[in-house]
Amino acid sequence: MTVPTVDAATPPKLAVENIQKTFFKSVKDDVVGIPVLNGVSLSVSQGEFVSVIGPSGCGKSTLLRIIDGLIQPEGGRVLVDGRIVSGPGSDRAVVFQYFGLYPWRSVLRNVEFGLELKGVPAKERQEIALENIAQVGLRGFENHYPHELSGGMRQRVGFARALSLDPQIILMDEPFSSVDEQTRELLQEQLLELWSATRKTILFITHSIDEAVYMANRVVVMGARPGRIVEEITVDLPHPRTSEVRALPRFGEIRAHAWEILKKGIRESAELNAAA
Amino acid sequence: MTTSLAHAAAREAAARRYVKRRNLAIRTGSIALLFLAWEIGGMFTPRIFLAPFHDTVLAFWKLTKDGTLLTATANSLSVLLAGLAISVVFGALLGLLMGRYLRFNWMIGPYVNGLYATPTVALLPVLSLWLGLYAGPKIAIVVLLAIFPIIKNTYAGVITVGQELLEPAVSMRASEFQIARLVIAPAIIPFVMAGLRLSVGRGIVGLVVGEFFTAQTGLGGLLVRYASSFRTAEMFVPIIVLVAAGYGLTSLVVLLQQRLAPWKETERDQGL
Amino acid sequence: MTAIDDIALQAERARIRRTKIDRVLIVVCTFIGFLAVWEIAGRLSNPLFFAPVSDVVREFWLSLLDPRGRLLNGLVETLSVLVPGFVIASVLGVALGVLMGRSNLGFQILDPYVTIFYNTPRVALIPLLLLWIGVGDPLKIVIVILAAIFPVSVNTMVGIRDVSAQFTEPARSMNATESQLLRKVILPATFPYVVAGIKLGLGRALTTVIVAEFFVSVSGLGGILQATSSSYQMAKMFAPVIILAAMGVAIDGLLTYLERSVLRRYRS
Repeated sequence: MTVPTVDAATPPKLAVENIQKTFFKSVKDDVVGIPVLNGVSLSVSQGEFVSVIGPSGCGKSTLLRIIDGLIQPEGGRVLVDGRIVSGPGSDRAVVFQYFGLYPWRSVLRNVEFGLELKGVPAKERQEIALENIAQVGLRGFENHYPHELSGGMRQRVGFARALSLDPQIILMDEPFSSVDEQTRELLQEQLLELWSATRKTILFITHSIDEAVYMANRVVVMGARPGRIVEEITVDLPHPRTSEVRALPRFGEIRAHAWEILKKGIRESAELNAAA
Repeated sequence: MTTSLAHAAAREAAARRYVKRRNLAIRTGSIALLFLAWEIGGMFTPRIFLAPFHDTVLAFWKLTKDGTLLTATANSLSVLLAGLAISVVFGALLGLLMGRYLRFNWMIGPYVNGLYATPTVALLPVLSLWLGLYAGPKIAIVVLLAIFPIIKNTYAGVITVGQELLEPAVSMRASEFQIARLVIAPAIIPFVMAGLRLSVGRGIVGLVVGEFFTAQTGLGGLLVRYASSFRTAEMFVPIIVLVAAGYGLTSLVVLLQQRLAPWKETERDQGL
Repeated sequence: MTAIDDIALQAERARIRRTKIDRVLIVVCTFIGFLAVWEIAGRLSNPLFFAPVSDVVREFWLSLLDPRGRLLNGLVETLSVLVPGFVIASVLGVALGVLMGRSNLGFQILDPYVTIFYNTPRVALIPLLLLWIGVGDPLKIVIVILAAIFPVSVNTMVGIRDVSAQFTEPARSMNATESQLLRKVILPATFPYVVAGIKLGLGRALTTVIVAEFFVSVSGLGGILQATSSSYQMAKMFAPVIILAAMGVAIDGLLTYLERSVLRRYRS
């Protein structure tokens, strides 16, 4: 296992070291363990945008939950600024695939939710929430309820909620997989703008190779059963990323390369399974 | 082009209006037939078995005017509402605790399930021995019938409050108390209401049985009194009020359900 | 790597085992505690109002052993109206539900009645029916039918109306006749709803038959309850309660099992 070299003076923003995670399944009277993550290590620096792709079942969502502290690993550790993570913290925020909004709360109250939990006074949290609602382009929808919004709008509420907590790292779990193609491209652009404006560190899980390459500085490719990192690809495409970037030959090359690795990973895990 | 479309739409609208009117006519005719049969049947049957429908209408008017009906209804409703209120408060609380704490569920779950399946009216004789002749045993039997659907539904609600609602709160570092107050409590309201909807009908059964067999008060008391003196015209009056109360209270709960949890409605529309 | 997995697996196994033991312990201790409280309260209180559990069990056992005793007779009497009444109610209820679910005319004609009767507390009709039919088994059978038929028919109707196009479209496209569609697709798809309706209906029937027996008060388990409580025979009074609880739980358990095993096949 390669542990990323850590400069003792300035530790990376986020370091994931040799994570092991097993899920247990009841089979009749016994339990069997299914290894989900096996020795996953990753290092992300301040302000970086890193995508993680992999076949379904490779544990990428589990990895994200371990980084957030929602799930505890059996082995390995997660460090933020060199400090060990033991549970969810205000330095990280998650944008969920299923949006994670509360149907009985208006847009404003949903965005305020995290601040409310922290005990921020009502007036202050409303100010912060309104600002972030405006930033994601939902001004005028403050008093709407989630069931009155489209999928894309709901996810923007999810963004606004994460942003209003002012985290250093934003963890995104396939945030655009439940919205349609056109909305997805608009949301991608909006996210990139927000990223370049705020310079947050972003870990972005997706199952779309195109999206992974288009959005990130670096693409982490995972393999399945057990989940592990197969390769990391640096994306040397120019910023700002606009739709023209997708037409560049270099974009096609990186995309094709990522697909090759992904395929190899899928084939290998199939062989591993056959051998076992 | 547009005019032909407009024509087609107008034709469709007319057809729909026709269907609606026809259905209404059938329904009205169907129910009118019942009252007609009642009226005619009453004319040719000895009065101790059935009085014609118009006699019941007159009896309704008379009992309303002399205040008998109002007193009885107020009496019954206060028992029913007290029983339902107790059921909602304790049912929701027990369901919440059972869903949230596995050990508590293990402790009282078997008894809740057992009593839900038991015809609890069987306990009425002993309740009236223990709680005397006033409202006590009546409220108790209403609660014994009405509380279990609320407990079960609330419990099911807490269990189905999925990761989708819990995970974001945990990720934003909510305390156990915050999760209970801000996530679980609002999430289970629709389930509590669904339980209450079932409880209204069961509660009315409890109420009537209580009024039959403990001190004979309220609408159930009137019913028994008229039945035992063969006053068949008057006898239908409390029955009608009870049906109306059941229907009215259930509709009220449905209305409340839509007001308190409008998102559930949309979810059902989308077939989720 | 395997070492970590192995340790975790052992820990998980141990955790599951501990949970199982905990559960048994808690259930058993709660039950013992419940019986102890009942026993002590029974011994401390006035025998006219409450009886210790040991007396109740003894009385229960004695009346079970006596084949000509009131308890077994009462049980047979209650079952002999409950079973036929319920069979009739189920058959009629499904027929009514099919009629309402498949025919608009049937729905429009019957729906007002079903709405009224569904909202009528069944027990309120007992005095009326006493007048019309008189004391006896026919009365109780009619009451059981009235209590059970509406949940069955409403559930059947809702089930039929909810049958998804995913089921009916393939059959239609394969030229199924209306009767084939009903028998081979719609009714099987509605089955889980019917079982749920039967479960609800049986519960209501049980309650209503007890109340009818309170009225008539000479026969059945309800009659025994009336007689023993009015003569303050506390220990004897709990016997029919125990039987009714056991009946309720058994019926409920059986139908829940049926519901689950049916539903499992329907999920996929």
